[in-house]
Amino acid sequence: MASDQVAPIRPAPLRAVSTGLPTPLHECPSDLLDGWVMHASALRHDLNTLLFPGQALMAYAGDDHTAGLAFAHGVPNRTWLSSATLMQDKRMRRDIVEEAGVPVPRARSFSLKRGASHAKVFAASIGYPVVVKPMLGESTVEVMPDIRDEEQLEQAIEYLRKVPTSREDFTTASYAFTQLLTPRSSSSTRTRGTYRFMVEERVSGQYVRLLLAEGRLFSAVLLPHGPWRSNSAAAEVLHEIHPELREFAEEVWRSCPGLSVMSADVVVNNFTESTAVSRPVLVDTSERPWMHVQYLASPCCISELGDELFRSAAEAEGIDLALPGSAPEVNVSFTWEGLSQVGENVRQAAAAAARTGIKFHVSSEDPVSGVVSGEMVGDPSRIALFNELVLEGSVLHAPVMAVQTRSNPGPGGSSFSR
Amino acid sequence: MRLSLPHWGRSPEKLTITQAEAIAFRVPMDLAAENAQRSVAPFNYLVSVRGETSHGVSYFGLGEAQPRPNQTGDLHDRSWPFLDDALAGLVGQSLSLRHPLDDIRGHTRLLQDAADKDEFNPLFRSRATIMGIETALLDLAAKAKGVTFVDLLGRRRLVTAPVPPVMRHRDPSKIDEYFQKRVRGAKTPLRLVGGEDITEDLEHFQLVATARRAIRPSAAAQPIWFNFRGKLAFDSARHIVEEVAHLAAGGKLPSQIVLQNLLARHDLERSAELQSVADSLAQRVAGSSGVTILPRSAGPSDTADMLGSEEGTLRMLNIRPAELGGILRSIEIAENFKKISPEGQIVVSQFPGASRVTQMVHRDLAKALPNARFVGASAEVERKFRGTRRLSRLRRSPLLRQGTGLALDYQALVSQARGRILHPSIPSDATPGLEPNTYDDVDYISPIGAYAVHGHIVEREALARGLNSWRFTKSSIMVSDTAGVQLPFRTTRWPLSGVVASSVAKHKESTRILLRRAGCPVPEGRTFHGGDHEISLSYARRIGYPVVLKPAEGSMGVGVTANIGSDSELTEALRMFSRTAHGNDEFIVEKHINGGDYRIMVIGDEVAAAVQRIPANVVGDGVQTVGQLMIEKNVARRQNSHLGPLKIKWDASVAYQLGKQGYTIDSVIPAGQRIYLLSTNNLTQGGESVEILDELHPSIKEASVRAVKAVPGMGYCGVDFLLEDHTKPLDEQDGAICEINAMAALPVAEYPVYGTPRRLSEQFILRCVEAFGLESWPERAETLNLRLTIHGGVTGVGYGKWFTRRASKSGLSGWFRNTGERQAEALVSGPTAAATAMATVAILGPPKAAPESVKSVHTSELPELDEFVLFDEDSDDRGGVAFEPGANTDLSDFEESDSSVEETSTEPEQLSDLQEIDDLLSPEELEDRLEEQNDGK
Repeated sequence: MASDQVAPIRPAPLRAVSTGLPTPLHECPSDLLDGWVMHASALRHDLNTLLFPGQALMAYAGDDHTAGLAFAHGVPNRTWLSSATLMQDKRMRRDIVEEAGVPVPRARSFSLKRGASHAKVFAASIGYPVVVKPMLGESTVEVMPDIRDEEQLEQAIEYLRKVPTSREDFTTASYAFTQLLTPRSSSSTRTRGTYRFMVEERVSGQYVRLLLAEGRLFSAVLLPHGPWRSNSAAAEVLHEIHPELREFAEEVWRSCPGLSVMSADVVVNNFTESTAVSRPVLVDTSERPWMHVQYLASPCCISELGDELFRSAAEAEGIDLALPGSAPEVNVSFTWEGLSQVGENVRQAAAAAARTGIKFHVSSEDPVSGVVSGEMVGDPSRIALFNELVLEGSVLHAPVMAVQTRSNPGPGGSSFSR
Repeated sequence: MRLSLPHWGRSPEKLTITQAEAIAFRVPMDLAAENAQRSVAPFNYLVSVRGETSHGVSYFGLGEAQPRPNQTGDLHDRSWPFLDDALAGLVGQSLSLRHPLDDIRGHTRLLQDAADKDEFNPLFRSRATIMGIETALLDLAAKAKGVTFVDLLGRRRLVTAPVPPVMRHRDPSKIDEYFQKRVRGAKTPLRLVGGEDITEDLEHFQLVATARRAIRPSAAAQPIWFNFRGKLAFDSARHIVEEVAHLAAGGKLPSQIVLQNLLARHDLERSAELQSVADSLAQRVAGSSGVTILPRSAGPSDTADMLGSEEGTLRMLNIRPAELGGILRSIEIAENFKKISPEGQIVVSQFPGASRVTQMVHRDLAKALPNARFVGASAEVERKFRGTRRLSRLRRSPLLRQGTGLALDYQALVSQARGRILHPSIPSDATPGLEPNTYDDVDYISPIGAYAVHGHIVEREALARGLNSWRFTKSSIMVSDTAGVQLPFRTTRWPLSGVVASSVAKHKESTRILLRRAGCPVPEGRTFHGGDHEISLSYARRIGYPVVLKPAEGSMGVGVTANIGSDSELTEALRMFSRTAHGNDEFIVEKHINGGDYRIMVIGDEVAAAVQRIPANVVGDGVQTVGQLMIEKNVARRQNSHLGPLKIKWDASVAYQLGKQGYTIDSVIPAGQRIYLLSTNNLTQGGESVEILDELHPSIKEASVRAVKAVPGMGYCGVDFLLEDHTKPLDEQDGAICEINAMAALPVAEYPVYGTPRRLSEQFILRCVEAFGLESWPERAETLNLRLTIHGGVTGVGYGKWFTRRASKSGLSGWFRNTGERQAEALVSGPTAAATAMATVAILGPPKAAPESVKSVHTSELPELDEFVLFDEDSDDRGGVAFEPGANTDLSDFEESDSSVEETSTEPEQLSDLQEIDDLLSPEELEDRLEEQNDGK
């Protein structure tokens, strides 16, 4: 293998999604996208919201924030905490779906400390190319899908030896269990020896991302270059997939108890054929929707998909929702808490809002307690993303700690002149 | 010859033994290393005896026992009680300083007799233990006389040579490199260690000799020792001797050769005969004069047998005192050997894994033995922790030190002690009714390790209700009923909590805002960004002092300053904070709340338990030092199934806290006085828990439930309350919720040190049964029959033996068998606590195993016998595919080894590089540890 001619082995980068909106809303980090889509849907449904770090979002009518819906990174709160945790352990998850009869690639896990030589033996026994991925953590992220020989395997392991928190594409859900991801000493940049990774058989064929909520298939996206390298080539194929693949998706759903939404990545020979011909193999699955792929496939449909998922979560909770408003703009009162430099923050925020077409008005500010209140009027998607990014820290010089919005439906509720 | 400077003036004639103490610790070793021979690290005992002169001058002596079942006849289960009795008997006895050796010989004979009493074995038992006591007495006498250990024994020489260095390389280029690096002209012998194949070994032997001759000709005449690792029968050994003699005669090997450990144990007594074969060859084959047989060390009978016989006389003898039964006995045997073989050479050796006490004793013994040429004395334990310290900085040289020159170092022993004996015993001062709780499942649970208890207890309750479990790691299980409904659990991450609960609870500011909205008492406060010092000062003035400064994220009290009373104090605290690891991070300033630290556990909308946490502390008895009290407390804590391994450790914070109260580790604390060792309440650092639900005021319960309900989807929560008095209404005291924890550890309430244990794990299962309609048993089963299916690296690594030993020790009946290359099955039958602990511990396995999952299913099949049986034992140890040892390995368990453990490791150098325990923790354990640390703030 002329591996010296190819780029060093590393996972595909977690690209931010281009929104086509003015700066600072021009792009959305892909790990924030699911939360943003649900947040926007909440605003379209005229609900009040509370947003906390880790994309913990509560959407409710009236004053009781516990009486509505809640999401973390766009994952509905109906998802059992233990199931979400299970999905982040790829070895355990694999055993469980396999037990339910779902075909999965051969795989084994190894530790950085003692596992490298064993991993090589295993990779040779199942045959190259193989897939290497961290055993614990976000699914589909940091996957190295095409390790062609032992030298590349060494490079992949070497990549994992860099401490996760300083890897460019490392991300972790706010509900994930606390892994000790720091190096053993402050001077080290190496991952701890107990860190484990999977070596998996590589399955070739068409890579299709299936998105389910409450057991129903909402989307199927063909990803010719996998979840993180496919760009315009990504295509929504929900209406083209063979009915048996749909059944397969539901079977995968049933094998993982306790999930409200699920993305399931399958590799098939041909998604239009029956499963006997297409032979689907489940190669990855997540408790997160990871809707950046649907966004890539058809950006214009993301609001519609978001509303469908939002309403499906509400229905499962037994909450009656009015249909989303059709007005292009919503009017919300907001409160930001935990600001650092209030005066400067307000100026920054006002300037950013003006660029993005959001009408922004501050009615009170308290520099000592760090609380600012006011109103925003604008496209719900833009307001949602604006608030997500204010909390994430990329709009103001330091992140706020909480964002509260109250919907002001109707023209009389606003202090802005229309 | 004597070189010590004894005490000036008349030395006392005798001492009275006033106190005897023993501390057992695990020898640190890497059990997962490829060449590791053990599945459990052995214990050593440090023995300390204190004696007083008639004038009230006090001395102490130190000894170390290295009990190793197969070689010294010490089985911990028997040797430790034996030591207890022996030390009890010693107190009040006198020790003559006129004729100390005779006196001590008399003491040890009595002990030998006592050790033999229940034995039909001709070898006396507990030989290492007896040597530990003997050494302590010798050291005591030497210290009282002011002479070195060797001068007490009778010095014969000033120095001895260490055993020759080992050259382990097998690669020719590495061998050349080795000799190139050796000092030119150095005239030291060389030692080689054999492998699996004798023919290859002999080729290697020649290769090394040739390389040495070529690269360092001046060293070519030096002997080479070759260790055959004791595997040959006499006839094969004889063949080797002949071949070696011919090779030496042909110039392919040096003329002086030491063949070490050639004979297997069963042919050891023919060692002298083998030597005579070598001797007669020397006469017949010109140029092969120097083949010396060095048999492996052995017990007293074997050693006596092998010294000499009608067939010949040994020329070299390996004396290992712990195997022979002590120092004085070793001297006798050496003298005997000298009579038989006046020119014979003695090698003094010890077991690997010792502290400096053993090292010093062996070095000194070698100077007292006749014809002792070489000594192998090492102190590997000290690489990991210091069990001893130098008694004096001035009198530390081999000529000036008193006795071994060593004293116990309690700093490390505080957390290393696994058992402790003290005579005369001191009556407990605990107030009646306030003794710590003890738990009868501790023996089943302790091998699981403190952090896996979380994951175990939920599985226990699931199985006790007729549900099946499937375990993947120490903390993760999938529970299912017969209808196939599956529920995952990862400790307290369970199906009745949602993802948002975890996201919110993780963030202190989110929690505060949500709880405040719900009208719960929270300390007024806010988060600031790094550098917002000015605003935080304004803020503190607004909410009013006193305030607390703490990092927004982080744990263990790092960077926390409490009770800040003024602007200037806050400015100083901020300055200090900016220097910590959290320096540039977000920080919180909030109102300081006076009060004790409580964890209120809420399941659903009910308070299920309430635990007060108090800092690690000891209560004085007027006799023991702080260090001794800490050991006593830690050893007693081992009766707590959860907190046992979470000990008080000696560190800078403890030293600081003690210093503030005017004490050190060596201070004797007045009887009845309680001193706190830390200011934080972390249970992981020896803090204590008191379950007080029955006394908890309803207003506090109500506030706790309200707090949990403020977070959507929080099915279980630990609410951390600061309270002045948990029996009073909230509005009559300063009280506030400082944190909520979605992952609060269940065992905290299930195994409290004091108060009422609450079985929260049972409620976890019952609530799930109800919520998801699982088919389960109405009553909790007292006994279970479980069929376990174990997958992963469990074949060929001694897993079956380990499993059988554990199951037998737990009083279970059933069987174990391998069913495939990576699969095994077991039937486990017995009390629920024991059977379910086995189902959990099965995911750990012995150090070299790597189990990946364990399925536990109820079965109607009953074991045929009333014991636990291992089927197909032969295949258990062999034929294992090489694979990586498991992530679930837990070194901290304290299962005792038994005589079936093979101990072939005889080379001190074989103790692998010791590693940090941290490295051996699985990610799950690390998480549990972190989450538990967060528990205590």
